[in-house]
Amino acid sequence: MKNVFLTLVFVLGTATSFAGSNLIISDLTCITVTTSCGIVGTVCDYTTEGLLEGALELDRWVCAKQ
Amino acid sequence: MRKKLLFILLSFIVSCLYSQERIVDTTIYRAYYKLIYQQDSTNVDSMGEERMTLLIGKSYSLFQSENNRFNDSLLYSLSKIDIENAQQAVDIALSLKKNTRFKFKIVKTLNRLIVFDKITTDKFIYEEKNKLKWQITNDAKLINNYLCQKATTTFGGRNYIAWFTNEIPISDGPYKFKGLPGLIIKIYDQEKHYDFELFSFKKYVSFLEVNFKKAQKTSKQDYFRAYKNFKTNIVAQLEQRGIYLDDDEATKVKQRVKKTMNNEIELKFD
Repeated sequence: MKNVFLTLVFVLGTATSFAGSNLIISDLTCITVTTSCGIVGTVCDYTTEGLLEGALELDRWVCAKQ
Repeated sequence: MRKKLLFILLSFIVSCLYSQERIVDTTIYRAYYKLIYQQDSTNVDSMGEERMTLLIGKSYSLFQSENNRFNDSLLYSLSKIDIENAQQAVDIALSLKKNTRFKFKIVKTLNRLIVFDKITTDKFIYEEKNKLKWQITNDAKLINNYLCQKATTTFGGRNYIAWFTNEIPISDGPYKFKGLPGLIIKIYDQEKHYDFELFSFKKYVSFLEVNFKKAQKTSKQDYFRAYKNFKTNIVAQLEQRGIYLDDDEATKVKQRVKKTMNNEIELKFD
């Protein structure tokens, strides 16, 4: 019974520890991005988070105010 | 057996806290500063403006751009969308995002100053080790209804004039500035290329949280060298991170970066 309890603690611990860092890994995805100033670029990444970050960065550098 | 069980449970709690890779504190005050800055050192008309927030907690304070905080929350919410629908997520992000020049998050404790910053999608943490040496004068004036006292310092290759108030006995301020007997109400460099001014200070009971997941620990020198290298070779650096432009646009971006990103807040980083 104690061993079952200990195992449960470890399983829960591992699951909780990694819960915040779950990432959905897919094949490399490339999307066309039309920036807020109308310039078109391409962003590639394996995750939605990466694509979003890439698109925002593209916009930031391409549409920087003069 | 009880001791063993207690040890395991404690190890589990510690591992959970560590795995969160974040700092959490109770916020007590929120200060808003308006930052006016000159983007191009050769053009006095290239002024930019951003609203910056200083959250002051029991043990930490956090300083960042309000627009950057908004964009982080937006990105966090949209990143949960499945990659098959990433195009829509990106379109939403681009329609809602706010423009920001400053992506840093500065966490200050009594003795330490930690900076989280990004070079496009790469995240870095470094510790600021340069200690500010203040010279406090007897000059005083009223700024935003606070009686302020003048102090001067040098930082990052710029000479600064600060106005702090003893009415708010919190040794903090915007950006990396701290160490005066009261809160900094206004600070600007001699050239007035960077000018921070407090416009709101209120009690604000909430949580202060900084997530530094996936950030690479580095030194300030290495971070700034990487940033300089990024700006010098911007198109190649963007491509390395999976961001592509056609040749015409790439040329324009190079010129724009040269023209608008030549006046960083820290001119020297050694």
